[in-house]
Amino acid sequence: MQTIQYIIKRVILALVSLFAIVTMTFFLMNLMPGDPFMSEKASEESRAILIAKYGLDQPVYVQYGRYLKNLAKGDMGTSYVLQKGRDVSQIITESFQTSMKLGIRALILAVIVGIILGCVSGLNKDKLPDSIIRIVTSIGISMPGYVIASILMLVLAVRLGILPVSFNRPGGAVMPIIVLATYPTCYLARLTRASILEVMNQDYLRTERAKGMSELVVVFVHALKNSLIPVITYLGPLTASILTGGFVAESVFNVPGLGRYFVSSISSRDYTMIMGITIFYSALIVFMNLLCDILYKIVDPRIKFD
Amino acid sequence: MEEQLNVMLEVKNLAVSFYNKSGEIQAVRDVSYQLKKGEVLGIVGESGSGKSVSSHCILRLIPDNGKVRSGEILFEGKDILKMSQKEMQNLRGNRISMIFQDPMTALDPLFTVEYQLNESLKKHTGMGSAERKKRMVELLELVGINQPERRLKQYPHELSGGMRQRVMIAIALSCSPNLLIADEPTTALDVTIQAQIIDLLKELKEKLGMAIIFITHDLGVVSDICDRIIVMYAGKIVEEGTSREIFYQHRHPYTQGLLESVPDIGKDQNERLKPIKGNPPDMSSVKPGCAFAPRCREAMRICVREEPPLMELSEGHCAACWGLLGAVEK
Ligand SMILES: Nc1ncnc2c1ncn2[C@@H]1O[C@H](COP(=O)(O)OP(=O)(O)OP(=O)(O)O)[C@@H](O)[C@H]1O
Ligand SMILES: [Mg+2]
Repeated sequence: MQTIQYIIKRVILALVSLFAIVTMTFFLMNLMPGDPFMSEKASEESRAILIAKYGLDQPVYVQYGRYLKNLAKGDMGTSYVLQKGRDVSQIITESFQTSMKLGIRALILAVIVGIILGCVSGLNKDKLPDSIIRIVTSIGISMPGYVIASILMLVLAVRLGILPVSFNRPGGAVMPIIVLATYPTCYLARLTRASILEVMNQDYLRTERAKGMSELVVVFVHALKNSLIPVITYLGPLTASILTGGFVAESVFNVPGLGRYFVSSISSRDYTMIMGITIFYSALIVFMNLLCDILYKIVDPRIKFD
Repeated sequence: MEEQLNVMLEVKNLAVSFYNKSGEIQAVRDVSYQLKKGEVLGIVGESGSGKSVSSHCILRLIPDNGKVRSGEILFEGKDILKMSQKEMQNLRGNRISMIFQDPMTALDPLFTVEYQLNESLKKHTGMGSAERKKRMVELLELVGINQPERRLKQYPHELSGGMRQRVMIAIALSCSPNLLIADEPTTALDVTIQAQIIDLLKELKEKLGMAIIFITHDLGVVSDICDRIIVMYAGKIVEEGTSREIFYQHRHPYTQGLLESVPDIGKDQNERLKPIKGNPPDMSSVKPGCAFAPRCREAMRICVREEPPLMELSEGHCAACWGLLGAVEK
């Protein structure tokens, strides 16, 4: 009961923040100089006709009202530029499938590798494996995605030729996945390490040992579960980071995913696309955070739904 | 000979040091004592005197930077310090179990009482799951927890401090240990709960007949539960004797000081409490002479030069103080 109430409250809160995001994006977008048809090789006249056709000559608040009305009906409009005339929702669904395939694989990779590295590092504090992992992860955290992408391209694809440059070839997804997973993997490793170190000093582990539990149970049942709590809270923002990481990875490797569309929709002032993708991303992030909070509360009995 | 057979635990010349960046800390220096079956031994002393370290050694549960430098701990004739990891795990929580000072942090917050109680039963007994469940309910009843079925389903944060300590005691008793080590089990609790827990331990000792090592820095707490008492100072035993001897015939000035600083013990209620002046010595630089000498009212010249040995005053009653030399020789 409490759980349901909590979820309803969170969903309402999420809708309110989504509305704020939609509003802000809409007005900021209209402040950008230029319009969707600026690059058309059409005359001033036909441009004016296009603008009038889509109602872009009306005051911004009128356009905003109309957009909200359509949105309430589930209609996000059609693309002005990128895929002229196609439904925005259709483009999003299609391109997100590509992004999601990459994203989920990167997420799984990051969670598994990150947590393992963090454990190895934390359980061997100040020994060689710990030092190596700490150096590697701090490099991984500070290196921008496009640098990693370029290095991978140069080494794996161009020099060694073991992976294709093109995304469509077999194995083409490997490099984008690595680029997507690098930052979250390193961040998770550090988070897990810090968390494990703190948990290893807790009194309840001494109790477990005093009960005769093997070191395996002490570490992998009690210490690990406790140290994963802060890691779970990070999973929400992690999803967001993989998505935003997608902007770079998809652009560099030419992946026909949502991230690439987002970047190009902004530069081409494809208003409906910008709005549609913003709403989609925001909803996704809000939803992932909610999911994370619920998971967190399930794992940690001390946290109440309120 | 008869005596020897009754000895369950024998600690011989135990010395433990910690090592950190600033060097060596001699936490326990040459401690020896015996414990008979069913006996309750009190270990008292100020904070930092090595009570915890010396007794955690019995289960080999000292922090990683600590090292047993010498000594033997014979449990039923076998040296614990030489046991394999596996033997050790079979001993812990089974033949010897332990309860700790702070019940608020001693239980894993993410697991129910049932899970944590079940763990040791599963490990050490051959009971089936239904039998274990029955035993868990019995155990909670034994330690005075009502509605045991409901409590089993709860998490530590849903229980009060006193209740958690009862759960800890239930876990410790779950496999009917021969020896229970209680490291200041009441220090973190408020006074009324303290008394309840002490009463519970007394009652359990009568009922189950296990030996107990009861650690405390408060002599008032152990006055009527202990058969014998060891007084520790700066990692050493300074006096040892029966409860009677320690309370009424103590010979070491430090024991005297400890007793004077306990509220309930002094016969004259109007007498003011007298805490021992000064601080315990820094264990990282051990000086020659008696460690207590700088704080001792009766210190003599020899006290700062040479360390007094533990001298036997009567059978089983020993003290380490140069002031007793005359008494011993007579
Ligand atoms: N992990 C550690 N590293 C360094 N020194 C330690 C460590 N644990 C204990 N010591 C030192 O060992 C000495 C004995 O500590 P111990 O915990 O046995 O004291 P205690 O008599 O139990 O005191 P308390 O009443 O405070 O529990 C102290 O001087 C303490 O500083
Ligand atoms: Mg202690």
